Amino acid sequence: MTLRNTMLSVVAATLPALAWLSLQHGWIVLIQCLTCALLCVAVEALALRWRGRSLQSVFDGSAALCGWLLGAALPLTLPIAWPWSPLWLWLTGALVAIGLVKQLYGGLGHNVFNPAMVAYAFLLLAFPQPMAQADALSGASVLDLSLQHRLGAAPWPEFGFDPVIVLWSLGGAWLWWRGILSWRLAVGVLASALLVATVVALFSEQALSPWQHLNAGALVFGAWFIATDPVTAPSSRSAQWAFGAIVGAMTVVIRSWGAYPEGFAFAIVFANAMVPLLDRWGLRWRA
Amino acid sequence: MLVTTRQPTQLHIALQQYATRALPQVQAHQHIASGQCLADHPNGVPVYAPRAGRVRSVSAQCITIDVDTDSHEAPALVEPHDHFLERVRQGAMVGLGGAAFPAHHKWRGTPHTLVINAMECEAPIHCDRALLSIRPDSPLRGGEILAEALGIARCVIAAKADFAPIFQSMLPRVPSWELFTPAPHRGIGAERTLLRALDGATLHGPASEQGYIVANLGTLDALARWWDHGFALTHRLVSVGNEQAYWAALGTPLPDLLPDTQDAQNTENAAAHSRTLRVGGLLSGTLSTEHHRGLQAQDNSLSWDDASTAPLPAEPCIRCARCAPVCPEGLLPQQLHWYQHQSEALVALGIDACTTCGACDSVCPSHIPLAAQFMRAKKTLRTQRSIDAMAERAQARFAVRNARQTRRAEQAVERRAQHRQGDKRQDAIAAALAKRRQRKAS
Amino acid sequence: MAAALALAALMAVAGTVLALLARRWPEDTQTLLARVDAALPQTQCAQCGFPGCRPYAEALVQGDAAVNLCPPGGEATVQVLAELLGVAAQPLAQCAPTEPMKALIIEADCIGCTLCILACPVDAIMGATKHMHTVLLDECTGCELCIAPCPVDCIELVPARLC
Repeated sequence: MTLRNTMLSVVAATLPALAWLSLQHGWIVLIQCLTCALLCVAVEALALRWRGRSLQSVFDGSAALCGWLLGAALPLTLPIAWPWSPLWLWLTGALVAIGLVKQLYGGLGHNVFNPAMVAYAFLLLAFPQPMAQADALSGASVLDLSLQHRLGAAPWPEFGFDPVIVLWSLGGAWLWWRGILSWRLAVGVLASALLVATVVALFSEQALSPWQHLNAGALVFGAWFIATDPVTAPSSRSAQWAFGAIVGAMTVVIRSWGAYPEGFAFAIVFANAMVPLLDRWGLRWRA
Repeated sequence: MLVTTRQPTQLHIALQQYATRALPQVQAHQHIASGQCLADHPNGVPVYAPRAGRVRSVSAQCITIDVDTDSHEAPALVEPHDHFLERVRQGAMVGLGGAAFPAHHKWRGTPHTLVINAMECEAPIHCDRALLSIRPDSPLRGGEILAEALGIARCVIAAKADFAPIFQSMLPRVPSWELFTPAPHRGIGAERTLLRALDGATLHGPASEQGYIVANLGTLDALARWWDHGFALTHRLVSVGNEQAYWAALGTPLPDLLPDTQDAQNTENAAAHSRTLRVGGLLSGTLSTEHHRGLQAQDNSLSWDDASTAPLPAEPCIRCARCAPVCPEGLLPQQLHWYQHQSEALVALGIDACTTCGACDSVCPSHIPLAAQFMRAKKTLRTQRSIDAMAERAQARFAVRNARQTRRAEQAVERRAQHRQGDKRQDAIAAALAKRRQRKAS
Repeated sequence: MAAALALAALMAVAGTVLALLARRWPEDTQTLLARVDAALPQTQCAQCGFPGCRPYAEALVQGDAAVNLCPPGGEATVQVLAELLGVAAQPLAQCAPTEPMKALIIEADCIGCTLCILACPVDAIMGATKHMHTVLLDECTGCELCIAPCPVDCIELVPARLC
């Protein structure tokens, strides 16, 4: 098992779900993932050159994976005209993810925050207009509708099971079986999100049901593919559970009360900042 | 398994031991008998001649002997001592697991448990396998001697699964002994890890301080040979490559134990020449470019380190934490790697418990030589600690000395005041003394 | 109004948590003097011009001495001292020794004058009047203070690794 094998395995694990999404939404899904990956690799090469490092590590697959996941997470924004054309958006995302979050912090293994999620959050804050477009890919549209409903501007969204969550979970389970990801992180995120969503649903009429939370947005995708990024997740067992719990709970909290429909990216970045502390405590419990 | 005896023509006997260097007792050109004492040190163990021959040269590090053609191994030429530990020392008993730590230091105290360590778990070492194929009874006999002499009530044979049937068949001889087969795990052969698996015991410091003796099969075999036949430790089993082993005299030049060295020299094969010799296991062993030294008690295995075992170039750590679940000590190797140059963080992360077993190396997708890094970090830490301890002692001694000098000065002032109050004669003496002191000073 | 109350409540909660945590963690009992003293190598060699490490530490804390006067500590000690005292690091005033040394008495030449015993700042020399002296190697800091007083020049410095 080498670094590149690991990275490529993660890309492979996303393929079933992405294939399903392309069937539904067209080739744009794969085009977006591929372009983002290529842009990230290009930015990585430039940044490494700028830092005077060996270009060898461009090919370790980590930049490509980061771009691939960013592409999978971004909303499909093809129809929008300049200056919000997707290419511009993707390039900004790649610059933030690789240039700012990864290389500025010291390159692979040294970044504190998840590059793809910081880029996603950056784009969401900086360019709310294209990012709020019908987000068919991650299903944030229903979340947006529920936000509108909370604000009194839209009827209650009716939606249920989305088969793509099964495909995401299958991909994640395959990675776990290959020993590439830690199931504690993913299960921690999902369990905590469901638990908090149940509590919220008990006390609020307007809240989404736990089942709707699970099927909407990036929760399942993120639990398996984003929260499990080893670089930015804790490594001791108890800290992994705690990390998952924080991400899941924060996602539901932001979805229920925040100003943005989807809160997964913010939840991840928030929890990333707590990782050193969690690892420290986790170790103390073991000792 | 092929175990052969090598008849050496020349021996280079090293005098450096675990913490001491034995002092030579023979001179150059002297003829020596097999089993004659060559060197000794009160804190170390004596060195005996494995073969008869003529001393070629003596230096502080090494005694070189030209071996007589028809000589063979013989009992040591000494009168056995009555006291157990002294007799152990006399037999030159050192741990043959790889550290060559003197046994008479390790077997002190009042142990309650003897653990016979037959876990041999680091490729390509297979001395224990070789020993069990030629003298399976001998380690058990050594264990009996040790348990009887030290009054140890509980004896445990910790054997890996391959060896378990061999010991099972011998158990009727020692009915009160236990056979323990821990789950196979990287680094299980390390003393501390083994005792945790056995009793859940957590060790801080040497096992002997908590009543455990963990002994290697080879060491017990040496003890049995010494007790029953009078052979001091002048030979050891050394495994060569993956399938061969030699019963070789200490001091045998390493090239004599590597059959393909000759071929390499004959064919002038460049690839063969560039190979390095590995002494010890793949993880704990050391690479040696100096092939022409003699075999030493700690050399358990010889192998060529060629491209197939050379590590791949290291890539950056992605904190994947695959190293955490495999660590037998429950540490977080990737955190240790991250903080490898910060001693405080390393101590907080428990580097002292690291046995550098290399389990983390084996799963690292970035091929980072973690165990080697930890070994270096531990060495740095050790040096730093001894410097710190010395500084602390010096600080305390300086404070005590200053307090003493102040006290003395005060006492002198007091005495002088008392003198002044005394009679005239005392004053006269004091004055004379003062005058004399003055004269002396000028 | 509500916002002000919420903020006040938030501050109260955060303040309480911080105060509790601060109480749980061990206090920093070491004074600056003790920390500065601990940063010095404790050779008591007086090469700084003060009669030992503690006096130098006292002078440093009072601001009466420069941070670059300790050759045995080397550049590393200068860095630590500068950081502790909040001053700029300077290059060492004298060359640092290349490796730690220890004093060794050539016992055949010793006349038993006790001068070195009096000079030793850490009581690392044993002996009595007109009897041979010897250095306790474990305690010797290699400060060289015993070398000058010896009337027969029988004390030598040897690298610590050879002892």
